[in-house]
Amino acid sequence: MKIDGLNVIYTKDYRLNASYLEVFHFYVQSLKKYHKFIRVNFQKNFKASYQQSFLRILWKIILPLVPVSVYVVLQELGLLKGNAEMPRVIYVVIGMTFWQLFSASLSSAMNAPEKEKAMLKKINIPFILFYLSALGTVIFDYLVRVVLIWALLIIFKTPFSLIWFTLPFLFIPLALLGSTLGIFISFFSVFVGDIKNIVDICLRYGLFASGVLFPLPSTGMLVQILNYNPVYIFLDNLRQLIVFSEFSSLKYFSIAFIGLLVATIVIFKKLYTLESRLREFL
Amino acid sequence: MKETLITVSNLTKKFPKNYKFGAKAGLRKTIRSFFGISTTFSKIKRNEFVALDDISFTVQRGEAVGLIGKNGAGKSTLLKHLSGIYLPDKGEIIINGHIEALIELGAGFHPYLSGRDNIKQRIAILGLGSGESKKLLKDIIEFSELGDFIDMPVKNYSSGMQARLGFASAVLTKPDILLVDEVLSVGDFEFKQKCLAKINEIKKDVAIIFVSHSFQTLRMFCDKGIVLVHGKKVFSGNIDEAIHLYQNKFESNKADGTLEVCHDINIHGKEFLNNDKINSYLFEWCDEELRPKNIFESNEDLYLKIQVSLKRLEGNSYNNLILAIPFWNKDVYVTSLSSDVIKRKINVVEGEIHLVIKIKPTFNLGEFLSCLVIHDGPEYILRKYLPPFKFESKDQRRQGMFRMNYEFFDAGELGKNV
Repeated sequence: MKIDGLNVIYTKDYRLNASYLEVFHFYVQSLKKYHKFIRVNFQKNFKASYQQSFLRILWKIILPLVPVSVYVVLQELGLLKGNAEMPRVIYVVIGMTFWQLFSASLSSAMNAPEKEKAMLKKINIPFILFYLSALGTVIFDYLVRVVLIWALLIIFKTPFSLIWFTLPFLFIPLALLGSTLGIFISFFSVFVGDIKNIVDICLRYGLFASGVLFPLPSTGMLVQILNYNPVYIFLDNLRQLIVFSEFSSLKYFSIAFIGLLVATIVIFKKLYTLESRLREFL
Repeated sequence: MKETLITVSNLTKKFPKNYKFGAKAGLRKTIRSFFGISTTFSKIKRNEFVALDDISFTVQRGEAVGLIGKNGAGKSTLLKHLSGIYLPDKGEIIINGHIEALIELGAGFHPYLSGRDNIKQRIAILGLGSGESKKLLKDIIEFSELGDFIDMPVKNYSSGMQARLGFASAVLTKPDILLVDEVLSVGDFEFKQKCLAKINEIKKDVAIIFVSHSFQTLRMFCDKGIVLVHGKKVFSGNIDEAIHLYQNKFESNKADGTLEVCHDINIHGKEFLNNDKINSYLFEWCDEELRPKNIFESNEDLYLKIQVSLKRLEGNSYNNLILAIPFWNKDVYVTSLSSDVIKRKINVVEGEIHLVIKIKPTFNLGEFLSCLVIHDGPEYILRKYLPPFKFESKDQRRQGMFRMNYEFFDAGELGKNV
């Protein structure tokens, strides 16, 4: 027997046999109860990130501007070869924005348990709150970059589309993918620190296997595999959607998104089961 | 019948002795749980130790239980299980109600955030409405007495300030169950008294588990005691019996309650007066005729006249007053007296205490310092130094601090061969 909320029975495997419905109920209750905590913890992370700086929140705008300015300069110097359809700088900036969204979501979710271990070891509150508040900072950074994308779309005279207004919400697929993957990895990286380094290496290579800076090659052995890379599927479709108002492959996008939703539900259920085990080791 | 808020049944927990073994075991358990496979309780391996061994007990609303044991006995581990941070390897824990745990100093506070922001974060966990949250924030800040420091980052707080913040945040949120682990051992005396008074105030509505190495605090505060030795519960019952058993059987460096009074009421400590409870006080050393006197002959009895006027408070009839006086000669703690030791009730008539204490001392020569302490239950309400008094003797042959009774016998008088 298990009761959540104020009444609870702790046994060695409490939560193990919970149904998906019970877990869903738990998360809804947690979000209702702790929504302020998520907000305050997000603010805490946000404030802490510029606590000892003079320019404070300005860094959140300056830092994304730096790589963009590099691409603009390279474009102006003619070093970035684009095509007639999409200016190269737009290609790269949108690609980098979504890639950073994905990699930051993954890293923040993967590192959240250890980053917050001081609190997790001393207060019994759901892990999900920390994942969500960490994701808040990632989404904020994405929104700052959205403004830059809008500016570039205008500067480079991209034909206007109403899709542009949906840009602030287009973080969902890649943020969800990064977070789900990050949470899954955190189940094991808490015990084996090497996993984080391996993930870091994968992310460095993944940048070139996801069509972020350059289109994927059309021939070669790895093409078929790379075409099934979910990061590439989401990133390429979203980029096409922003610039040309259409998906490059709606079929792949839909399959990948439905698969992602299923994976997210499964991982969140596992998180519910495992968080006590993780907390014990932190 | 009182509501049972905590039920612990056959709680057993083992921990790895080293990180590598722990990581392997943790990973194995995680993988099993990931695939929905239940973990089994295996035999204790070479790299493991039992932190809690088959512990069972219950705590009801209004009950305060003291956990007694040496460092490493499993007291803090038990508290972490009760607050759901650790899960049992065997057995179960049933918790009915909202728990607040003061498990570690600064627990749950973000070092780079101010005290105010940390309190906000703590309140956010409670999921209160906006109005309630604001009021609670104000109350906590007021209770903590941190003043302007409330907007300073917690990393710059002293341990006492962290204790203030932690205690105020935990207690004012009105928990059903309060777990307190030694956090009150830091911080200044006055705030400690304020905390104890607050715990005393909420005690009847809360189940409290208290970990402290101060037997005096435990004795004043708890009804029940549980003695833990190497993770095993060796006794559960009356707090006095628990302390007695622990001191006599398990504590290598035995210390009685009086010595602890000395430790708690250090001669270098500050004076204290709870203005919410005491109107006025008067005390003086006297002779037999109750005339003020500070210099006594070495065989003379001392009289201490005490008058205290207490404020009449609703719901407080001052039934649990304890009066104690420790004595020092310079910095050396000499002895003490206590109404608790001789089981003498302190009578309060219409808010007034009028008392005379007759002391037949064995002091010989020297100047002595003393301090009058009055407790209301676990809470100090007064601690004031008494005027110093002196023992003198015209007899040059009397020497030393103490007088002894002694007799001389001729060998034949005792009927024994010498």
